[in-house]
Amino acid sequence: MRDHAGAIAALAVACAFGLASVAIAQESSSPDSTATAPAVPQDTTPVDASPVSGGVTAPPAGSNLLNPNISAIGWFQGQAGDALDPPDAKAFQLREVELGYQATVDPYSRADFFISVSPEEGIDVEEGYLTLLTLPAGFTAKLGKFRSNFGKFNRTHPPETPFADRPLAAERFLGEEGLSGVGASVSWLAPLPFYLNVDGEVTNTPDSTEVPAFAAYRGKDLMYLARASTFFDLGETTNLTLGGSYANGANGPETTVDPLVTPDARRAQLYGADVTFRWKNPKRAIYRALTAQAEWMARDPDNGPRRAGGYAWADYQFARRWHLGGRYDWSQAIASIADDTTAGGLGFLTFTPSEFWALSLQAQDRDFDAGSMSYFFKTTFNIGPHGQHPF
Amino acid sequence: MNRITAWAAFLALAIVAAPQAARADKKIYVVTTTEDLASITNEIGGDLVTVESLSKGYQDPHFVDAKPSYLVKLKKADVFVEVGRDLEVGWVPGLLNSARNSKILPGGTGFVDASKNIQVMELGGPVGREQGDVHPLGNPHYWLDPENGIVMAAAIRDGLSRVSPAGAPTFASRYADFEKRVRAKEAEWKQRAKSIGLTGMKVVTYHRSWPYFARAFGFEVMDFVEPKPGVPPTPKHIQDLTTEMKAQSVKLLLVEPYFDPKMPQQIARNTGAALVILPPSVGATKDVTSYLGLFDAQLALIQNALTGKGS
Repeated sequence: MRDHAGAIAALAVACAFGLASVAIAQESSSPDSTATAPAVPQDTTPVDASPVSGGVTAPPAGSNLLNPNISAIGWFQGQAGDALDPPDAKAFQLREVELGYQATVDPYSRADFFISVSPEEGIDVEEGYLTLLTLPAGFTAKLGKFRSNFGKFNRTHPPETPFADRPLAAERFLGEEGLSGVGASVSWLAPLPFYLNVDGEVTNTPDSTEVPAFAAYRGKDLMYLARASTFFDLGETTNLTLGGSYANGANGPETTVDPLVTPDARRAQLYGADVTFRWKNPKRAIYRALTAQAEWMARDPDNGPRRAGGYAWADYQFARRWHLGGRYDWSQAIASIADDTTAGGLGFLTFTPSEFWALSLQAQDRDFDAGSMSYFFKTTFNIGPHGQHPF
Repeated sequence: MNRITAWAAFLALAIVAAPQAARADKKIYVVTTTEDLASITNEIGGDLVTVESLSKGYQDPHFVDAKPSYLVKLKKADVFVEVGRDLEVGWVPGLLNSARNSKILPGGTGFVDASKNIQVMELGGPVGREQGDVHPLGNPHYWLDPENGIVMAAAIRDGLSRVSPAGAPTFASRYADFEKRVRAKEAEWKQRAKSIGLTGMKVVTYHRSWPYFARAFGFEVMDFVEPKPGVPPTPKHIQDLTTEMKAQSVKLLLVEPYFDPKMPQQIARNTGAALVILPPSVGATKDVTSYLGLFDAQLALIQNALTGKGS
């Protein structure tokens, strides 16, 4: 029973939040019948859509109004060079198609599904979660599968990052797709005059094949995660986001000498810190901007040495449609006993014909000591309702 | 350890004290997306409200960053007012979902979509990204017709009255007064537009921001500097536009202050049209501090440009 205490407690908390969510929302519903639109962009299907020809009767046009927002992002990539991963990677790849389905479920909650389809991974539910919107006292909660709130970069879906690859430390510690989990998350916005948000997550420990920092051993071995982040306007044009993260998950079975004793799980701890600086003149918002971000993380397993890594990158929008950027990577090898440190980098020049399409040429030196280069052409394109601008 | 205890005590005190301090202020706290909405809310709410706008009038309302600091304001808001019609689709939905304030979620008592009863223009045409960055719910720049200011004020009056029924008579009375003042000024503005030659004129604008303003003051928007909404001008389009402006004797070019004026300046030089950097919102320039003052300032700038006094 004690082994399952964490999971049971998480379930109990989730149920309590669910009930609280409904109770609070019922107190604040509006009699204004025109104000019932969901907080996400509305379905934009024209309401005068006619039934299709050929004797097939279409459903009433009004039924489309309750459809979720449906979007798709394509990520096509070309690559060449001496240091591709894997070395025989195909020259052209449709790396991923990400399908998004988003809508409010009812007055108390919304649902977000992101389905990732790729030649390598097949079809995968990248995220699928329910968000409780009407909890009291500054809380929200999520239930389902979601990208873990560890660091700043990890939350961004791979097609939407500025890079054709992933930062070395993010890949070595959190895996090629990043850290995500199935479970529950609670987020609290502190009642302070400035922004301070605290997140707590309880999820299954991911498999080591997906996330090298942890190793799922038994189903009941959970991963616990906490993050605090704050934000300051330094002036009208500049601002700073600071974050600290901690995760604790299973790290395979303990070594045991008695074959009759079922070994307990080892644990690994992961620490992270991140800082993001932004500059943008709001009077010329569409023409110039700078985002600079640095992130550090360290892994501390029960049965091995501490290993650390980090990256720093900047993206300068120097004209309405043009971005220039670079990234510096530094990371120790996570599984090596020796202090095997690699430093590398990536540079990119990106052209955005519109908000919905980006073309990027990128050069990567994964290991400055080895000096072998790879080159990428990344393009992403999306269709569907206008989404949230990234921040 | 003592230091840790002191910090913990400070944090606990701040967390407990902050909401108490907020509650001590009995005014209705209203957060709006734009300064136009803030100005109208102040007109209706008077002393019973405290109003803050998230964006400034000199910002392109399509492209406002969804800063986390806005969540602090939204979390404690009693009323939230948006322009709607997808104008703020790139930054507001995520903020509302993260604000931990069910009162101001769509459907909540404190949520006000100011476009609720607006007869929007450009609705029902083809909707697709091949048309540029179109707004499928109609052109959202409706506040630029003062007649619509009255409709917006009614939506705000209703929202404030929902949240504070005790204040409803005050809001109704202030709304009636606002309507009266807008109507009086409207007649004056229309007369002024005629006298300066704006009415009946052919005009080119940068973005598709001014159809309501054009309807209000009776001028024709002949074409746009942007070939399609949200699409930057190409040399070919500028060449064609210049030829067309000369052929049709277009004398006025209106540009929003958040666009780079270099291209419009070149067009103005080549065509002889007067270029006016026209404030589209309250707060776009320091001297535009109210919704009624916005139209005064706009017509004064156009008058100066057309009479050769410069803008």
